[in-house]
Amino acid sequence: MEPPAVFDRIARKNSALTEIVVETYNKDITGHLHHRHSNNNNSTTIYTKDTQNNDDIGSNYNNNNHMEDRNIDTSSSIKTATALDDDDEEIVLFDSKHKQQQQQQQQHYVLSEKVIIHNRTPMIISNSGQTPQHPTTRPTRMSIEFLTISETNDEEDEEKEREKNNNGNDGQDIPLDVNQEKKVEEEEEGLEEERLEKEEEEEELEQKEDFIIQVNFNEPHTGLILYDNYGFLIDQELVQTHIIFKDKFSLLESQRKGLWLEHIESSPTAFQDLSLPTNNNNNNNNQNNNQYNNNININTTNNNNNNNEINQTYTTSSSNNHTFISLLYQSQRLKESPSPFKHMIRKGVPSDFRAIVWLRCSGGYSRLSKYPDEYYNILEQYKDKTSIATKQIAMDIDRTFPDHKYLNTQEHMEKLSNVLVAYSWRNPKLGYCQCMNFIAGFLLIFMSEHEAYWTLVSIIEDILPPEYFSSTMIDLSVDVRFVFDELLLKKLPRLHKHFSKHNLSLPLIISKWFLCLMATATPTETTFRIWDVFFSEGSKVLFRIAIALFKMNEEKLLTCLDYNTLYNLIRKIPSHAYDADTLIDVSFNKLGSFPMNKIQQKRKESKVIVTNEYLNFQKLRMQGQANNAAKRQSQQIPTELG
Amino acid sequence: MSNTGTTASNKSAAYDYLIKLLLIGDSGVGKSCLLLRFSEDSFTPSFITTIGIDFKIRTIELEGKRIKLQIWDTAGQERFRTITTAYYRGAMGILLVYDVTDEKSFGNIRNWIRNIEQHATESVNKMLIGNKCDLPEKKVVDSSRGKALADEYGIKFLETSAKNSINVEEAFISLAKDIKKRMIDTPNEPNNQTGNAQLSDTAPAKQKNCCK
Repeated sequence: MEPPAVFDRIARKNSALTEIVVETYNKDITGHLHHRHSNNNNSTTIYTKDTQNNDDIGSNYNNNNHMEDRNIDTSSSIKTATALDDDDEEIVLFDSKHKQQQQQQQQHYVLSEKVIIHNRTPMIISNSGQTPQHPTTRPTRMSIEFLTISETNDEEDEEKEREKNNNGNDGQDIPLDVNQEKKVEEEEEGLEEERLEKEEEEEELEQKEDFIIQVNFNEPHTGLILYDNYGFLIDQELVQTHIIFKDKFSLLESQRKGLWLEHIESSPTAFQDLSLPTNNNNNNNNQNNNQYNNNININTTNNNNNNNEINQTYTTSSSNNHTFISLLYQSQRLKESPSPFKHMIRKGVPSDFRAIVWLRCSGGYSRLSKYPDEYYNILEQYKDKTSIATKQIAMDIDRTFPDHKYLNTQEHMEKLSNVLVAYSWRNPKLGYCQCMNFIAGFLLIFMSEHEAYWTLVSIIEDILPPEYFSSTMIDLSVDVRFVFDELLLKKLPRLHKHFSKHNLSLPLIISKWFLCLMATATPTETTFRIWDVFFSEGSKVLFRIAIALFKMNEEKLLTCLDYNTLYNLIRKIPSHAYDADTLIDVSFNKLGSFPMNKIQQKRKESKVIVTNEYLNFQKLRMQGQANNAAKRQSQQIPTELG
Repeated sequence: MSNTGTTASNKSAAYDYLIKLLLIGDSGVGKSCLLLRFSEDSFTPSFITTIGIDFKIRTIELEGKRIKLQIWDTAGQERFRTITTAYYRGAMGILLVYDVTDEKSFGNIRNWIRNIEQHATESVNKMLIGNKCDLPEKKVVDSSRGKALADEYGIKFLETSAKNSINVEEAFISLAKDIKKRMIDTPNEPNNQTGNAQLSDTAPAKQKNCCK
C-alpha cells in the first residue's frame, strides 16, 4: 500500500524517525493520523482515528492514549488516510484551507517523545494566492523543551540583549541534555497543568510577549510538514525555529504595515521618494502616486494613459543609463543622512507594498512605463521558437519550487516560464542562467508577470555588474573571489585567517548566495527583507549581508577545527538566519563603511585577472575540442563500416 | 558544548579515510537524484535545480575500513563550468553521468572528459554512468554505445536508475573501491601524490566544552 505522499516525504527527509503521530482538533480534519515508519523492513503503516466527537482535549494529551490508538488499524481508517493523499494539505497543520476561520484553534503535536503545545490564530492567504496577507495574529505561546527561549517583556532589554548577541554570540547553541528525552517524558504529566495555567495567563501576556530566540543549529527533527508564510516548505531541521518566528513575523508585519500606511497618508508624494530623484520627474510622478495611493495593486494597463508623459521624462535618464541606484551612487546620496524611506525600507517593506517598492527602486518601473508592450510583444513574437535557453528553462521550471504549496501549479509555472523565456529573447547573449528561475519565482510571489519581467531586467542589467549571469560569469567571480575576500579580510580578519588555514573555498559556497540574491539560501522572509534593501541600495548589499552572516556566527565558526565541520556550518548559516532584523542591523550598523568607490576599484582591478583566466580556460577548451574532433573523425570510420 | 563537534561525531561517527567524489554531466541527467538515492536512499521526481556546487556525505565500510565519501554535486549548465572546475582538482573519483533517454547528454560526455583531463589530477578514477535506465521505452543511447565509450577511455561503465535504485550503490561503491586500491593500498605510486586520502583515526572534531 502506498503511504500518503506527505508521510513518505517526512520519512524521506528524516530517516531516523520511526514514528510520526500528528493530532489535530481542527474540526475540518477528520481524525488524527498516526504513522509509523519502520526502518528495519521499510514497511509503512498508517493508523488513524476519528476524533471529531472528542471534546476533551486534555484527555488525549497523554502518551498512553496514543499507545492504544496505535492498535486501531482497520481498512476504513486507512482509507481515510489515503484519501487525504489527494490533498495532503489536510494534514498540514497550518493549512491555508482552514485559515478562513478566524476562531482560535488548538493543536497538539505529539511526536514520539517530543511535545509541542501550540495555540494560534491562523494566517489568511488570499484567494489569488499571490499576496499572502497577515491579519493581526496573536503571538504564540509555546512550550518547547529542546529550545531555550528567554522571554522578555521589555523592549529595552531586548535591545541590550541583541547588542550582546551581535558580538558573535548570536545563534549560540543550547546544549542538548543527553537525558533530555527521558525528562520530557517525565515532564509530560506536569505539562497538562502547566498548559492550563499558561492559558489563563495568556491574555495578559499576549500583547507584550516577545522572544529572544537563540537558534539551535542541531534541532531534532519533528517530522512536521510546515510551510512558511509564503508557502515554502520548511526544512525539517528548521521546523521549530520556524514555529517560533512565524508569529513574530506576522506581528512585525502588521506593525510595519501600520507604519507605512501612516507615512503614506501623511505624505502625499510618498512613493515619489522611491522613484528617480531628478526634479523634472515630479509632475509625472505625482500623477502616478495618486493612483498608487488609492490603489496599491498596480494595474499596468491603467497606467498606459500616462505613458506618453512618462516616456518623455524617462528618455533622458534612461539614455544616460541612469537608474535610481546608479544616480544614488553618482550623487553619493548614500553618504547623506538616510531618507525616511530608506530607513523604512531597511526596517522591512510590508508585503502589500513590496511590488511597488521593488518595481520603483529597482528601476523596473521606469523601464516598464517606457516600453509597456515589449514583454507582450516578445512573448507573441517568439511564441513557438525554441533555443538552448528555452530548453533549459523548460527543464528547470518544475525544478524551481518542487515542494512549494502553490507555486508548482501549472498556472504559476507558466508565468515563471513566460518571464524567463521573454528575458532570454530580450537578451539572447545572456539567455538564461540557472538561478534566474529562483529570482523570477520569488518576484512573482508579489508581482505580476509583466512587473516581474522588468524587475528582472533591472536586476540583471542595472543593479548587478553586467557579467553576473552571462555565459562567462566573470563579474560573479570577481565579486565572490576578490571583492568579497578583501572585505572579509578587512572586516573579519580572524575569520579570514581561519578560512585560509583550512583551505576553505569560500567563493564556491557564496556564489550561490550571490547568484540567487540569497533566495532559497535564507528563510523566505529574510530573503525578502534583504531584497527590500537590495533594490533600494544596490549590489553592495549582498556583500554586507554575506559579511554580516559570517560576523554573527564568527565565534562558532572559529571553533570549527576542520574543513568538513566548517563547510557544513557555513552551509547552514543562511538557512538559520530567521532573525532578519538583527541581520539587517548588523549588516548596516555594525560593519562600518563599505565605500562603493573602493568596491568598484577592486572590481575593476580583479576583472582583468578573471578575464585573462577565462580566456585561457576557453583557449584550452578550443584546443581540446579540435583534438577531440580529429580523434572522433578517425574513429568514426570503423564504426560506420561496422 | 560545541555543536559542530556533535554534528561530526553523531552523524558521521569516526572514519578511517575520506574520499572525495564528484558528479558531473549535463543539466537534468539526474546527478542530484543519484546522490540523493545513494546518500539517503530516497527519490523525488522533481529535484530543485542545483546552483553552483553542493555535497553530501555517506560513510561506508570497505574491507574493514570506514570510508567517508564526500560527494560533490555540480550544476550541469555549461556556464557554471568555470566555477565548478575549481573543484575538479580535489576530486579523487569522478562520476560522468548521462541520460540514456537523451542523446545530447551522451554526446557531451566527451566534452566533460576533456574538462576532466584539463582540470583534474591525472590519476583521478573515472566512471561512466548512464542514468534513467528505468525508461527502456524512451532509451535512445544503447548500452553497447555506453560500454564502447567507456572502453575507449578505459573506464568502468554502469547503467543506473536513481528512481528504481538500480546499480546506484554499485556505482559509488565500485568507484570508491578503485580509489581505495589506488590511493590507500598502493599509496606510493608516483601518480598519487596529489589529493591524498586524508588519514584519520577518529572523528575530525571531538566534543568539547566551551563555556560562555
